[in-house]
Amino acid sequence: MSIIVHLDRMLVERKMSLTDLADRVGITMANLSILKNNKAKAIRFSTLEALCRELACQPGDILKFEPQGEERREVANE
Amino acid sequence: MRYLGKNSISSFLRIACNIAWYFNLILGGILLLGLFFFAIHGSEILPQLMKDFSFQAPGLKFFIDLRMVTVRPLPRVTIVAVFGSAICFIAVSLFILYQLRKIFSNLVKEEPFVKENVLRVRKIGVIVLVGAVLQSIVEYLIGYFVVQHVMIQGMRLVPDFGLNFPALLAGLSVLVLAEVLKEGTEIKEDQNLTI
Repeated sequence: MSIIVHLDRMLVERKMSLTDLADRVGITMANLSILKNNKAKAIRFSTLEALCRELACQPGDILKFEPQGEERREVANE
Repeated sequence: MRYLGKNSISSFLRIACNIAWYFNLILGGILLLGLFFFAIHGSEILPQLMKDFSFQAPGLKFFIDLRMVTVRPLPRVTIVAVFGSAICFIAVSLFILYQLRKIFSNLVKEEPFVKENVLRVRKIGVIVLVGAVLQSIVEYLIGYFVVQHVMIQGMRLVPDFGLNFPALLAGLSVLVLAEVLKEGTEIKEDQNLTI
């Protein structure tokens, strides 16, 4: 997956624990861990909205596009 | 009426499959013992055990007077082939029942969309297809053996080869259903990993 979730970085910057964020956003620790460890296949707008609100950031601060393998070569050629 | 979970139709079917599985296991054991016994003593005993000679056609059963029937001593290979084919069919039944037991067990746990179920349904489809072809071959061979060793006055017996089309269609349908289940499993996995 070329979309990387930088949730851990945002948590360090905001000095917030994963448990705190889970409580504030209203999703389980298990689901937040899936998101943090880049195991998620998709993210709901509602979840993204809640994360951005609680972390006071933009979606682009949490999600990054980092091409891998074949995609990296295609991006480099462009 | 509940279809999944405890005290549902799935749980009833799981129990039914368990009973059928153990019943088939015992039947397979008896057939195996029969195979050894009749392979040794069958040539002499089997013609004496025959009280009448009968065969079936759709909607009809024919009983032939034994005085009209001449049975040659059956060679050992015929007896082994008949018992062997019966054991093969029991093995196929056991295989299908085992897969069904596991599938219903997952359904009782309310987990229909798991990869394990997809593989098991696919295995059932393949074995039904293979079993249907094997059944046709074995039935033809048994017919061939009967023609070789049984003669009925005024009647000509001819072995007949016919494919079991309903079973072939059932096997193919099960394979298609396995693919549908696979799609469902992938959608479920996507849903589970959507945060």
